[in-house]
Amino acid sequence: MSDSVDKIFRKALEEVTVEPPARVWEAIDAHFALKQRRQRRLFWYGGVAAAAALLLAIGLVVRNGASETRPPVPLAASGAKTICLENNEVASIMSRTSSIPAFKRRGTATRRVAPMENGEAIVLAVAGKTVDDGLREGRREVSIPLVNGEALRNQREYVRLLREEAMAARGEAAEKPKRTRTEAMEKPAGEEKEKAEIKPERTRRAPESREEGRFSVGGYVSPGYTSGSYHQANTNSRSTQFSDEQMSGLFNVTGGVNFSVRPTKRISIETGIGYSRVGQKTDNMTVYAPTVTMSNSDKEVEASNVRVATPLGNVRSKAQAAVYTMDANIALKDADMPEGSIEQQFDAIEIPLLFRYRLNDNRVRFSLMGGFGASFMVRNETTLTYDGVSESMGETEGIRKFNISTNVGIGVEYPITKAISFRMEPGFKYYLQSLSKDGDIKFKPYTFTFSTGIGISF
Amino acid sequence: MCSDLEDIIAKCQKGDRRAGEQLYKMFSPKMFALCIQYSSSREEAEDNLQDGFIKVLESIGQYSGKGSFEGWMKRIFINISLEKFRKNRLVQTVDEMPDVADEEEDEGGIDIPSEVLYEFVRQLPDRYRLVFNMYVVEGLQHKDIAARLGITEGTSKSNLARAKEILRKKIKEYLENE
Repeated sequence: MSDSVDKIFRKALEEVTVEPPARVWEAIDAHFALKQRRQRRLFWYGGVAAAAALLLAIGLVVRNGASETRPPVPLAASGAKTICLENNEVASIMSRTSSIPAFKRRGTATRRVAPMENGEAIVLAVAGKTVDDGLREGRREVSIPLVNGEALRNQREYVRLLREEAMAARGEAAEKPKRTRTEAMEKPAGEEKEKAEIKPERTRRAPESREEGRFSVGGYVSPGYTSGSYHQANTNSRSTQFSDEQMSGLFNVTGGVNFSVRPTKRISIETGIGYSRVGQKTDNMTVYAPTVTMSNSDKEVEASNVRVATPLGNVRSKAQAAVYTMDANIALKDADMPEGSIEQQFDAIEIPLLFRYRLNDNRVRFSLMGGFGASFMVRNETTLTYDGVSESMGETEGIRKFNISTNVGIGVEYPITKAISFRMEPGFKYYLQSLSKDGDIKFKPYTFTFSTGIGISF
Repeated sequence: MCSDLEDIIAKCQKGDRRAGEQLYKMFSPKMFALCIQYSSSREEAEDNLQDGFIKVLESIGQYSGKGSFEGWMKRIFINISLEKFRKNRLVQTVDEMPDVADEEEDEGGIDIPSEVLYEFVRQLPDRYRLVFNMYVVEGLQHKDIAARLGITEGTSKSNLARAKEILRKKIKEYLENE
C-alpha cells in the first residue's frame, strides 16, 4: 500500500467522529460528584477527629495539672493512714485513682449504587453527516441496581433472556435495524441480526473507586499489657540496684482516633492520634532517699529536695513516706512489714504512621500492619503502693519527652454495614530508645495491645 | 488554541465541573472515535473514553499550554487504551512473517468516504488494527510500537503488513461493487 493511501487512511481516521452515548458523561459526572462528596466528608470527619483529639488533650492537661499541683499534706491534717517503720521511719499512704478517657465515634453508612442508564445508539458522523451504524439498541426493559461485577453479569444474562422471550412471542417479527452502507457491504444480514438480538443492554461501568471508600476514620479502645526490657549499669553511681526479677508489667486501657487512606486496593496508610501508656511496677523494693534536708527540729523535710532512687530514675518525691524520713532509705518490705511496690507510668500522645496490607477480599478481612509511632510524653507519674493503698510520689526525672516506637500487628475487620466495620487488632509495640536519658539506665518499654474499634469508610 | 478553549481549560484547572462538561462535548466525539480504534469492543471504548476523560480532568493542571491540547489529550486516551489492551492480554505475539512488499499499483486518488475507511480499519483484528493505527495514524516507528505493545519489531512489521493486505482487499472489493 503506497504512502498516498496511508495518507488517505490517516486523514479519514483523524476526521471521523463518533458521538458517544450520554451515559459516558453521566458516569464521569457521577465520579466527580462522588469525589466532591468525599472531600466534604473528609473535611467533616477530619474536623470531628481534630475536635476529639483536642478534647482529649485538654482533658489530659486538666487531669495532669490537678495531680501535679497537689501539695504534700501534713500527716496530722491529712487523716491518712500512717505506718510506722523501724527507726522512726514513717510511711503515709493516701489513696488515689486514675482513669483513661474512652472514645466513642458514630458514623452513618452510605449506600452506593452504580448509575443506571438507558441503552443508546452510537451514531457515526463525518463532516456533519450522520450515519446509523447499525448497532442501535432498544431501550432498557428492566433495571437492576448494580453493586458489583457479578450483578452486572446477572443483569446482562437476565436482559438477554427477556429479549429472547420477547422475540419468541413476536414470532421473530423484530424490526430489522437499519444498516449502514459499509456494514451492508461487509456483513451478511442474518449475522448482523443475530448479533443485534443477543447483544445485552449495557450499563455504564461505575467508576472503580465507588466500590469501596478510599478513606476511613475510626475510633478504638485498646486494653494492653506493658512492660520493658531493663538493664542497669554502673550501679555504684546511683547507690542502688534493681533487678528484672523485681519488675513486672502493667495492665492498662488506651484509645484514640485514626484516619487512613487507601492508595491501592490492598495497601492503606494510617495515621491518627492516640493516648498510650507504658511503664512498669517494681516489687519488694527499698525506697532510697539520698538527699535529705532538715527544715526544723520536728524532723520535717523540705519536700522539694527529697529525691528517691527508683529503677527508672530519681523521683523528686512528694510522698509522705519519703518526706518524713530521717534516714537515707525506707525499706518498704522487711521481715515484719507488708510488701510495698512502686509503679511508674508514662502516658503519651501518640501519632502513628502505619502501613497496612490487606490479605484477602472476603467478608471478614485480615491484614498485616507495621509502622512507627511518635510519642509525646504528657504524664509522668510514680506511685507508691503500700498495704494496698497508693500515694503519688511525683515525676521520674530524666525521662525522654519524645520517643519513637515500632508497631506491628494483625488486623481483623468485619463489616457491620457497607461503610461501617468492626475492627480487632492484636499488636505489639516496642520503643526504639531507652525511656531514660540516664546512660546507666536502659529501659525500653514494650506493649502488647488488643485494639478494638469501629471504622467508617467513605 | 482559540480563546474559548483556553478559557475552558483554565476553568477546568480550577475544578469547574461545568467547564469539564463543555470540554467533554467539544472533544468526546473525536476521542470516542479514537478509543474505538484502540479498543476491542465498543463497550471497552466507552470505558476507555470514561477513564480517559476522568484522567484528563484530574490531570489538566499539568497541561502547561505548550503544544496542542488535542495532542495532549490523545496521548492520554491512547495510553489508557493500550494499557487496557495489555492488561487484557489481547496483544499477543503472532508468528512473524516476512515483510510483504507494498504493491506498486497506484491506489492514489481513490474516492472512498472517510466513514467507510474508518469501518475498514475498525473491522481489522485487534492486533493488526493497533499496529496499523500506531504506525499509520500516530506515525510511530516499529521499534516504539514493539516497546509499547510488548511485542517484537518483527511481529509489529508482520502485523502491519497483514493489516495493509486486508485493507487492500477491502478497498478492491468496495471499488468493484461501486
